[in-house]
Amino acid sequence: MKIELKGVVQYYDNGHKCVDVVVVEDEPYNYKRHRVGVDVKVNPGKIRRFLAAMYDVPPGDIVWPPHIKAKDSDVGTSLAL
Amino acid sequence: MASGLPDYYRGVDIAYQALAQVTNRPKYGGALELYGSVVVTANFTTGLAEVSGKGMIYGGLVYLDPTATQASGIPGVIVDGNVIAGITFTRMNKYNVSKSWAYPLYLLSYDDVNFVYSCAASYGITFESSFKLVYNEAEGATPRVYYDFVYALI
Repeated sequence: MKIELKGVVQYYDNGHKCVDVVVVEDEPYNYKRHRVGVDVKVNPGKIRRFLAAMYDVPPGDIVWPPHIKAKDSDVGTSLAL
Repeated sequence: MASGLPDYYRGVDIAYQALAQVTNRPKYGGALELYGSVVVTANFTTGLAEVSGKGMIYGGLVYLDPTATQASGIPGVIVDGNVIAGITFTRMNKYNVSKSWAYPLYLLSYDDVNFVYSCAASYGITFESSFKLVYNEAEGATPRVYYDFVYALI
C-alpha cells in the first residue's frame, strides 16, 4: 500500500494545539485526515512514525512531497511580525 | 500479417485538435474543514491555524466574541510565508470592503457599539506550500477569535 502525505494541519482550539495530517492511499484514492496528537511538537520523524504505525508500513514507504514542511508552528502564541 | 490497432481506433491527436474541447482541472481532494477558537494576546499578533500543503481555500469565516471593541483588529492570511491580507475592521468598514473577491478577507459585520465583528475569506485563494491564519489585536484586549475555514489539498 502506498501512502502519500498531502498536508500537515496545526491549529489552536480552546487552549490546545491540535495536529492533524491528511493522507491519501493508493487505492481507493480518498483523502483521509488523522489526528496526530494534541499539544505535541511537530517534526518529520514524528509524522512518519505516526503514519507508519497507523498503516503498518515502513516509515520509508510514506511518500512525502517536497513542498510539505513538517515544522512546529507557532499557532496559539504571539508572533513577532 | 496485420498488426497494430484497428483502423477505427484513433488516439487523441492534440496537434490535430481532434477534440472540440478539453476539461482540465486539478485533482483536489475532498473539502476539509479547519475550525477552532483562540483567546488572543493583547497588542500582539497571534497565530490561529496553519496548513502545510498545496491546495486552495474555498471559503472561511473569522468572527469575534462581542466583549470589547476590536475596531483596530486585523485578521490576516499568510500564504507561502507572504502576508496577502490584513487590514483593520475599521478600514474594511470605512471603504466598504464587503464584497467577495474584492479582497482575500472581506467584511461581513461591523458593529462598534455591540462589538460584533466578522469577516469571510474569498473563494479561490491558492497556496503552494502553506497557508496560515493570524489575528493582530491592537486595542489592548484579549478577545476570543473564532475561525472556520474550508479548503482542499492537491
